[in-house]
Amino acid sequence: MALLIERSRSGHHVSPIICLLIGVILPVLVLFLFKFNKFFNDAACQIAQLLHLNYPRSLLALIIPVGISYYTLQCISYIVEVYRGTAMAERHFGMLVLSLLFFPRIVAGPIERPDFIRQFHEKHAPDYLQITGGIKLIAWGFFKKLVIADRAGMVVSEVYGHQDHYPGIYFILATLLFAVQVYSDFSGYTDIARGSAGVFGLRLSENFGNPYGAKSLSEFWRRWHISLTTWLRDYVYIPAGGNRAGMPAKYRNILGVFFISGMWHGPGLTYIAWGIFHGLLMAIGVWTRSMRTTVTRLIRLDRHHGLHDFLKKTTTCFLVCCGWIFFRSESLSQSFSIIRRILIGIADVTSSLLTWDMVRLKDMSDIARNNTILGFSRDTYRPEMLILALSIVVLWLFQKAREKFDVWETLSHKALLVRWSFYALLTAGILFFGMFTKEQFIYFRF
Amino acid sequence: MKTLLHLAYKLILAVVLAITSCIVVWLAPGDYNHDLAALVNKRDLLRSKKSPRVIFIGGSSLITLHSAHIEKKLNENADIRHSIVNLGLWGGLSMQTYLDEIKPFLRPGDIVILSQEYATLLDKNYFTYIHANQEGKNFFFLISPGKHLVHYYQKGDLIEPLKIIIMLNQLKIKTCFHTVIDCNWSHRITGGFYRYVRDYNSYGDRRSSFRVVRPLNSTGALFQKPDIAKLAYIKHFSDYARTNDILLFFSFPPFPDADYRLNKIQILELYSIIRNTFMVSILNGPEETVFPESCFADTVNHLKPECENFRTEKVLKRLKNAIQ
Repeated sequence: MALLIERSRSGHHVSPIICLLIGVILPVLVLFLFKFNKFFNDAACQIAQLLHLNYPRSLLALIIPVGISYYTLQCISYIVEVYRGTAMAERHFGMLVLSLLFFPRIVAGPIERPDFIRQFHEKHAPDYLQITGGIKLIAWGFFKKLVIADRAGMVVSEVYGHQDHYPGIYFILATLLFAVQVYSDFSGYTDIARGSAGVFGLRLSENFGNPYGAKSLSEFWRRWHISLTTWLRDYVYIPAGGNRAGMPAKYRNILGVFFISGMWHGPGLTYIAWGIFHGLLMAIGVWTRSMRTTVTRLIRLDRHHGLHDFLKKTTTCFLVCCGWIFFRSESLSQSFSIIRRILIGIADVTSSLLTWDMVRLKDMSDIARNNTILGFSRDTYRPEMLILALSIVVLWLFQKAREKFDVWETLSHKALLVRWSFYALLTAGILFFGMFTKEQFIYFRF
Repeated sequence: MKTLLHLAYKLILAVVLAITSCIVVWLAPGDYNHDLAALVNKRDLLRSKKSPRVIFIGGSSLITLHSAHIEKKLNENADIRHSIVNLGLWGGLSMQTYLDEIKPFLRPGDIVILSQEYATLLDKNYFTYIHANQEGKNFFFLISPGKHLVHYYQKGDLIEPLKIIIMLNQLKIKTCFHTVIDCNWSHRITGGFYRYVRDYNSYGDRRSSFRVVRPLNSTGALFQKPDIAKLAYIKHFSDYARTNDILLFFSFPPFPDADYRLNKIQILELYSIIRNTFMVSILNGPEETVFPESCFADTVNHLKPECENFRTEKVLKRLKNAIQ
């Protein structure tokens, strides 16, 4: 299609817009067919059961090809950029396929733009710094995944999986830990992918920029899953009019983009609710921007930068965590049930503290289940929680440092003993604190 | 080429560092906060006791036995003084492996009393569970790493021991953390279970009794007919004992009356196989170890203290008769 678009410009009898439409609609249809196959298959099966018809459910159940969500978006951006004239159509089919299916990022991104193909045409001599840089990034990614994400995931799965057993306040802990888990898991994978590409001399784009340090939701989305957010901005939001077609269109576009983002994650209502939740918050954020600025000025909060930033960051984090409840839940009813439990839990703790009801508070702390506490065995849960807390602190310090300087670059200029001590600590951290479970990366399922 | 060599050299260095750190942690003194690490303590206990010994081996139904009482009464007016060792720990451990592990520490004149729970002998599902149980394998590796390394090497599987070493090292480090969290600075390292000194006495018996739970767990289980091939290890151990001057007895475990009646045919068949086919002497027959359900604490295997006294007396009486 891309070649046809190019040829159509030099007098060929094919309309470029038709080629563009086919090039966009076809991959979207394929994506839709595979992603929503189970959803429609289940629905059709239920209808067939109601009508007493024999429905060949297994015959129509498709296996989703690995990474389809990612390379579909890449195919679309490639066709669109060729149509716009900002990228050349690739003449070498092998190179095109290689760039689309490049192994480190096939299952969970980042979603690259057409200029990524160019890197495959370049000559890559083994570069010591690039290779070692890649290995360091891979190690850091494994640390995030094995030490932090999988450990946090144990608590999250336990609490979300046994709702009736836990008092409401534990859902606050589980949701906060899910925020940590999903970030460490996904950014860990991205680091591993970027590191692996680096070993081969290729550069993948950044996908995260300390998202929980964002001062607003829009900033959060500029720092979270950057490659998807920018893709949606460039190929959905802006072509739909962006913020140039008046406020109602802007709100519509924001909601539309987040609805698509939710849909992209899967056919479940929870993902759609998560997308709409963010879309609504973003729209409300735009609508109340001037109002908030006035209030801030009135109460003179803008004069206390530190406090103002802290409040903004905390509010953003709180809203993002509220969204994660939908993202993590198995169903919408579970999401609302968890929110209700959290509210009841807060009320319980507050009233117990106000009335100094220690017996009730003690009851709330009795959370052992089947000889386990928060998913860990009774004997190991305290060390596990300590390791989790310490590793989150390490991650936070690392993010803080990265905001100021390139940690890996700075480290490479340090004395041999300092460097190797750091590497030894990182390796020991993975080796001795890693959870070697069969837990896969969260974003593999999208 | 130079770059690649430089890189390979650094990578080898990193791997060597990782392996060295694993070895250092493995060799460093420390405990494991896992019940099964008590295998190390029990092995050490067996090693430390002088022969001739009466060695009880089996699952958790043995763990609350009053070994001190047995030792005292057994040695009263006796020409030969026996020391008692209770190796009972958990029914989920492969008894075949456990018996193999203690073989090097057995001496002529020792008396081994095997007492396994019925599920481990007559329940196919539980048998499969025991053989698939990774935890048991990990801790058997801990008590004789050299032997297991050779075994894995012969199987051509070097990844499995590496995984086990990493898992055990992780547990050791977490247990260090535990000591710090508990501020337990007076903690005495035994190289085995973190709470062994607190939970077990010098004979290997559990100091505290099991919590009473109702309804009783694992009641009403229906067993299958005994599978001789799966029980062959008892016969092999019996042959080993005979050739090494070791006395072997089989003692049937305590079991609730109702469950016994439900599985009587299978249990009697098992009795017949052990006694007549395997030619193993029976210390306590199945009928002797049937107790009312009120005697059990949390499962059909764990006796309450008052009934444990009664069981201990029965075992003692039979043992005295057997030795004389």
